[in-house]
Amino acid sequence: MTVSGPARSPDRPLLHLDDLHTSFAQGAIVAVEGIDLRVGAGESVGLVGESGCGKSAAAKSILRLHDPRNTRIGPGRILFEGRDLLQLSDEGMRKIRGREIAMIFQDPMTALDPVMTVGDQIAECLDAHERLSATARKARILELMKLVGIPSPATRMRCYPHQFSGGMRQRIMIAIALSCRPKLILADEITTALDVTLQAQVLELIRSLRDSMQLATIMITHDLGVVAGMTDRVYVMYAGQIVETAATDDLFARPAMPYTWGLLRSAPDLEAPVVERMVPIEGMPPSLADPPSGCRFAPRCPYGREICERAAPPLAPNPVSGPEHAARCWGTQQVKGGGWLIGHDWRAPNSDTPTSGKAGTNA
Amino acid sequence: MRNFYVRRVLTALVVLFIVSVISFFIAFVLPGDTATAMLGEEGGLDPERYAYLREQLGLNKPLVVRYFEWVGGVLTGDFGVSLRTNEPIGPALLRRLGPTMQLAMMAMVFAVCVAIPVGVVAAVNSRTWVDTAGTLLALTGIAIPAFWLGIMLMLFFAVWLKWLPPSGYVPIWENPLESIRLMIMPAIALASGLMGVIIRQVRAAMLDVLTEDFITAARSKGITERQVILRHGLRNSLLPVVTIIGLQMGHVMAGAAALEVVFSIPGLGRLAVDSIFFRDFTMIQAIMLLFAFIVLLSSFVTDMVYARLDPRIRYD
Ligand SMILES: Nc1ncnc2c1ncn2[C@@H]1O[C@H](COP(=O)(O)OP(=O)(O)O)[C@@H](O)[C@H]1O
Ligand SMILES: [Mg+2]
Repeated sequence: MTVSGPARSPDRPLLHLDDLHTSFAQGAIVAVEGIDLRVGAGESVGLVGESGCGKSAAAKSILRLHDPRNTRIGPGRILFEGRDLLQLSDEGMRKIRGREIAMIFQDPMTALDPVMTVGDQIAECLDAHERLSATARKARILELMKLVGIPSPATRMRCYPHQFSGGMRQRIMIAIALSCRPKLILADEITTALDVTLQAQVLELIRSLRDSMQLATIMITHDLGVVAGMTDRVYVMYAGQIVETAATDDLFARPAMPYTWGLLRSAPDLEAPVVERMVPIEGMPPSLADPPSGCRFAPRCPYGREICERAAPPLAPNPVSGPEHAARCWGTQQVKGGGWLIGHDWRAPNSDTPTSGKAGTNA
Repeated sequence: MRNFYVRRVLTALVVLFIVSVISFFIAFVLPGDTATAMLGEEGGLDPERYAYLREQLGLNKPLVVRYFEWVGGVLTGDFGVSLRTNEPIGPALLRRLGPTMQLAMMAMVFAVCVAIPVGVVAAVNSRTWVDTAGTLLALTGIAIPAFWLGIMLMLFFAVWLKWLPPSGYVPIWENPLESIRLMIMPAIALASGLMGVIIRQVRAAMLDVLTEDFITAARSKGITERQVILRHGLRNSLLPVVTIIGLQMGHVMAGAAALEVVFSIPGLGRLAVDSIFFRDFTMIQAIMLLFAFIVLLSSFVTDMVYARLDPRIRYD
């Protein structure tokens, strides 16, 4: 590891992705490229980026859920409580799944087995890791269903997924994830498939469970609004790389680089009434099979300069905030030809397009 | 649920009606009638005997009247008498049903027991030599004519190796072991096509299901890969497979006829073949009706099994 992330880290983080790489199709698609991400015990971290940036690929790498036949995880390390998960056997990994690290998936409509009762699906995780008597097992299932707010669990446990609404199914997914009291939960776009009211309810549920059970969470989302009151720190991901990371408050107060600004402008329910709501970033993320050679965001960046297309910027501390705030952007780095975005207010109109004729997106 | 069954029974009745009409009238579009058939080649030359027989058999009455007389008989369990043997058709059918059902059931069991594991293993190892071998087995099973496979099996296991008796039939309640030994080769031959179809169906369904989110989610709980594949993958893949098996029942019954001939099994299929050669119209009509009934019954059973397997299905 040459470029280090933010210096702030608990003594030994619960999870530490150390320069993690994940590639598909014999290395032709590098979906995760040198990610450095730390989660402390009980800490909540956000992983944010547009769709297709490699967030799910990174999360699934942690639990080794990719098809091994076309996926390569590495180089890099996935340190969980100091142990490298990549060195574990399949059986060793199985024991981590569900018990140490659990995952909640995006679409509650498709992530539950349609032909198995929800009670059995909750029990399945328990049975995989614990030996329980039939009564204790049933008591646990009921307790879990009650915990996530499913009414009359004793009858509902015998129902099938299609008999539940989307919000209730997501609660069941949460109950499954919690069933073995894991230390870390990977929540991958868990509110994306839900409508706004249900989103708020599910987030509130996650927040309260997290606080009462001292769970560490990685909230994966494309929506900075979800991350806002939910996380301690945020990693912004773009095209397989971390492009900005900071404490959540700091990120919202002083977002450093244009991609994060774009995400802020496109977040649907940000509290501050800034510029026009929900301005999507123009263009599409690059193909991970053939990313741009310089800064990966340069082709879409309204603030770009000559250096951006020539060289790829490192993830370096942002001079305006503390060392824990880092960004992968020449505009924020005091190097020759860089640094023009230091102190730039992202809400201000973009007057800074000397080299390109691109219009500002926040006009 | 009840609505569904009422509707199913009504449809079945309509189908049975149509089959009964077709099977009844088909006798009259074929050259020659029952009387010529009974008199044989030389007897047909005697016009007096011919006229007498027609009168006796009621062949002079209008067709529609005769149709309703026949249906009326069938509804009260009276299928008439065989033109060939002169014995009542009902008991004859019943006697012939046993061997055919035993053959069909054993073939089903063989086909399912081989095809499901092969299909699952092929899908789990897709695009490897294991998968290729599975596909080859499936295509071979589908492509090889059952009667030819039957003859080959007979040559190999009965004539050369002398492991199994070559042909014949013993009721299962008289000598279970011998009955099964006699039925092994024809059942395997009959199973081959069905096995091929099921292998392909299981493999395709399994490949489909294994890409579903709930498979990844199941894996993320820390259950073993075996549990992921059998409990979640296979159970979901069986839904389309059950349908295919139900639909294949007709083919299996039809295929049974050839094997009953090859292996001298006194079943329905052989009876049908013999009756057709003899123009035993009353018997042919009854057999067609019985076949239609069996196929309808099996599709009915299929739907019930399907409903049991898939909680999302609520017939109403
Ligand atoms: N199994 C796979 N095989 C090939 N490419 C994949 C696979 N899974 C994901 N990808 C590719 O990796 C990229 C990142 O995907 P993903 O991690 O799902 O993005 P995100 O979760 O950020 O929306 C996408 O371009 C996607 O097409
Ligand atoms: Mg995703």
